Amino acid sequence: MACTAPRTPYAAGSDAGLHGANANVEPPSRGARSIPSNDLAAIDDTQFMNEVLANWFERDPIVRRKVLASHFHPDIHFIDHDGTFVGYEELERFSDALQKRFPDGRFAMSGTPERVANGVRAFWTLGKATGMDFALFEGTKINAIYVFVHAPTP
Amino acid sequence: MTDDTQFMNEVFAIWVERDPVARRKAMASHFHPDIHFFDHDGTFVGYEELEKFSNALQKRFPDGRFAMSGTPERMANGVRAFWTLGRATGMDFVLFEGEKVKAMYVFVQAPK
Repeated sequence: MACTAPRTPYAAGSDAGLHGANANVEPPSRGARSIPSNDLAAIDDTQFMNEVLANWFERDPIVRRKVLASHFHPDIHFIDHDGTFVGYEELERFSDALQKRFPDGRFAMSGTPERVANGVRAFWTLGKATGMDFALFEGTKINAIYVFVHAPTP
Repeated sequence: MTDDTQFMNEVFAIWVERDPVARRKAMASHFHPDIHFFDHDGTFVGYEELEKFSNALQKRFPDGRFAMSGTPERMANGVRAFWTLGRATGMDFVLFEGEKVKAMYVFVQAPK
């Protein structure tokens, strides 16, 4: 799940590196050259993304801020259908609105997060809604997260 | 304004384009020169590395052709598109800078 070593591009004529061809095979080297792979190696993506999902419904503002700070960079860009939220305070307003709208809401992860270099994809459900987060990491924290929601018809 | 469906269909077609001149032209009109392409197997940077990727793909899937599933969805500068290639399915997440792609993340679900 984590990138552990610098990688090299494939040589011409290589039959590796194909869509689907080696998806279940551990490649000889992984990790984007521009990514600090040592940092990525420390992250458990499932745990990390579960913590992110749980934090939106965290009721204690001090705990919530602490988790925001440990999982997101201060200039975090959170992008969804309704707009873009930048930084911890705007994410807290998003969280407040979410808690108001879904008083007993709780995200449940579907399947296991998948990582490609510094990008992690996680599917989730919230009540009857489903969605997908795509998180871009810089080191051990997220600097941008794109949220795709499939809301049920009310 | 970019039509995301058309744009992503054109991107899919690039990978199986047999004419290297047409392929390079399409790459240059859709990707920035320092494009970073990430998939489970590695990272490809720039047109030449993407051409090597494309060559390998064409060798492995001589009659391969990507088909889009559903409609691409855009979130600010990010576009998500699902596809099939033979029995494989996958998802591209593409980051735009202006009118062209600067990074793309490819998630593959290979057939059993």
